[in-house]
Amino acid sequence: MGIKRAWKAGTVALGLAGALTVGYAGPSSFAATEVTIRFVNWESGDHTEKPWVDDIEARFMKDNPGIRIKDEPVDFSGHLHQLVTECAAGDCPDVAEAQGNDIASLASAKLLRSLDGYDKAFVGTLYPTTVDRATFNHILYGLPWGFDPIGFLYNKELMKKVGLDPNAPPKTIAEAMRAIATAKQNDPESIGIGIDTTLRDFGVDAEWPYMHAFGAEPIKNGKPDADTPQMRAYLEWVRALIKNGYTLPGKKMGQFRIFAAQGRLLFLEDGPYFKSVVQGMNGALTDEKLYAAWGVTAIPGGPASGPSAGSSDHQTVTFAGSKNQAAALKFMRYLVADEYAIRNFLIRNGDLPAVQGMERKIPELNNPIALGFLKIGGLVVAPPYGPKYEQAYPPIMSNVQRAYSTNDPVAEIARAMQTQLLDVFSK
Amino acid sequence: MVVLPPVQTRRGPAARRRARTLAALFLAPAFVIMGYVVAYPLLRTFWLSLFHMELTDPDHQAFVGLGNFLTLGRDAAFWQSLTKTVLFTSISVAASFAFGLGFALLAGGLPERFAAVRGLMLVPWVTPAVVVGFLFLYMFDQETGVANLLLLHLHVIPHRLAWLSDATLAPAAVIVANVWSQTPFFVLMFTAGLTAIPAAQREAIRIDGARGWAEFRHLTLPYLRHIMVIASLIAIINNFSSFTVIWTMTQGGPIYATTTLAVHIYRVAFQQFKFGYGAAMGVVWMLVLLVLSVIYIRTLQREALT
Repeated sequence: MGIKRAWKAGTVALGLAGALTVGYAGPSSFAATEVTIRFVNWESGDHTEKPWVDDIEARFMKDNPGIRIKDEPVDFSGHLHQLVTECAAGDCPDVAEAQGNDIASLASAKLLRSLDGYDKAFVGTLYPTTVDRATFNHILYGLPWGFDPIGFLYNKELMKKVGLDPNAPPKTIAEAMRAIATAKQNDPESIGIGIDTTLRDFGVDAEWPYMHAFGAEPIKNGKPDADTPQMRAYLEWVRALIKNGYTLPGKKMGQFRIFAAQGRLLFLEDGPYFKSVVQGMNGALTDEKLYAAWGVTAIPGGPASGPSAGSSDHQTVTFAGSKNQAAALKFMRYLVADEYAIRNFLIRNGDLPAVQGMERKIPELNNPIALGFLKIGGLVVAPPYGPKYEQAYPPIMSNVQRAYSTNDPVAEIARAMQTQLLDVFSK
Repeated sequence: MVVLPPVQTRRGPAARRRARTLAALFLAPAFVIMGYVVAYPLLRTFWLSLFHMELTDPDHQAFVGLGNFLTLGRDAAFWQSLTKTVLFTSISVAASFAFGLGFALLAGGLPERFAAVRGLMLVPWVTPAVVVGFLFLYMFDQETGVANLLLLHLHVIPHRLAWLSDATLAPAAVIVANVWSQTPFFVLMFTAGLTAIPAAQREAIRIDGARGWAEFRHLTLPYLRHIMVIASLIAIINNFSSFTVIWTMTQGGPIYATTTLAVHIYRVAFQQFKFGYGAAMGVVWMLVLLVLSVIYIRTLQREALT
């Protein structure tokens, strides 16, 4: 019986202690004056970028004591799927990072909060092309978090080594092919060009400028238009690239960066973040060495158009279901426009700020790589994002893959792409 | 010597009711969890399959009854992925079976001081599928992979092969990765079967002059037969749902060459957000697995009786 009494006494004592602790914490613990913003992004899942994200978030929280930021890291390739399924479960985050077709998909699903009418003066300070990427059906849904045109990087050192003029990067696809042929002849171990031919939506994003160069638009004015001579010409070019060993098939854009870090890659389509990633892979590649080795220009033009650029801009969005919209918008604006956030995350990550003219305020932006990307920013041609884009990319990229991995006639492949796209758009 | 009173084995009705109530109380949490995690998703999937439901088109969701299933019947991509699943599963299971049996027989003949070798054989099985996927992704890399390095060195191939970008080679690469991961399961099952063979029978058959193939055919095979059937059925059911290794290595490409049913459903449901149609595919997939499971259970029961 003594033991039972002891247990009872102990339980009561613990309960009192707990009540005192909770009570001593004061009324603020129940006042709920602090809001927590759930921020879904892929940077905080990367071991290099996470500390930078933590740093800028800490600064924001210090300046805004009533707002806590809670990161939710996601994988880049699966982030849209995670956002849509979270929202389908009624668990939308407050703020999310978006890219490519994300805004079109999320807006079509009626998940995003419209930012139409949001501080027009501020929006006017952003690069127009970045605002376009954050807009769907003429409605602004996001704030651009980084200006990331996809350009054409050329390896000046390797060009010199193989007998090419390092100050004359190719302006057309034909020139690029001749340069690669020369490089392969003089250095068989070199890799001519890095292009993304993967079976994913970003594969189309990355290939769109090259398709544009040939005048190939598998989706035009919202309708399939793949069975064209221009598409056949583009497919022939992709086939020639792989059959001649000028590139490695089926690789993501980022998978070529290791070859760039090794100095074996002649040309690469990539974004301004190329600098930070490649320097992360090769610690010996200082800024000076990188600027000496690599230059940036527009993606070469072709029979149908002049040089262009792709788009890999990131945006921040907030969700219609978020209960902390004021705090969410405040955080989004901080990420996009605050000088501390720009210096300590965007610049470090190699992104360019979406706010125009920052190169006058931030000396780190005055480097050849960043200035090169800023220069080509006005040439961006973006794919026709929309609700059918996620269903359209498999027919497009699977047939691009068919072009380089089979000997089927390209006319047949273009027809198949058109038939499959018609099936997608008819449903 | 102390004589203990006999144990009371017969219970009255009240005691039996109490025992049943207690059993139900203990089982209830498991049933609740199973209901939430298994039964609800199953029922919800059935329900979703009756709707046209695309998350990116919320204004046009509608009840279509069996419409999704009728569309499935005409969907070439679905039948292609089902065919690829059958091929992938049958080749993977057959190869894993053969290698597993071979390694089990070899390991069974090893002296006891080599017991650690048996443990090492299980490493591929305990390696997480995503790690296996990345391992073979890099091994089959065209430029830097050891597969090309080894084959070039042995003069088997004249130049580096684009294993994961070639529609003929990619399925082979994925199957190799899968077989590497699955073989230890068969090794384990067959090793257990081999250790169950009575030593006396083995001695007797050897005295009769049976060795090697004759011993295998007349002694080992009969003892392993039921394990072979059970293990193969389990492997078929597992491989039918295989997703992680394939997605990590190829994402179903190139040109859908490695798009099995699991990959196709993932793409339709979670990349294209066609939940209704994806659910219909899931229902069909579940029915196929149900048939396989019924075969497995009936075989198990039959083997237990014999």
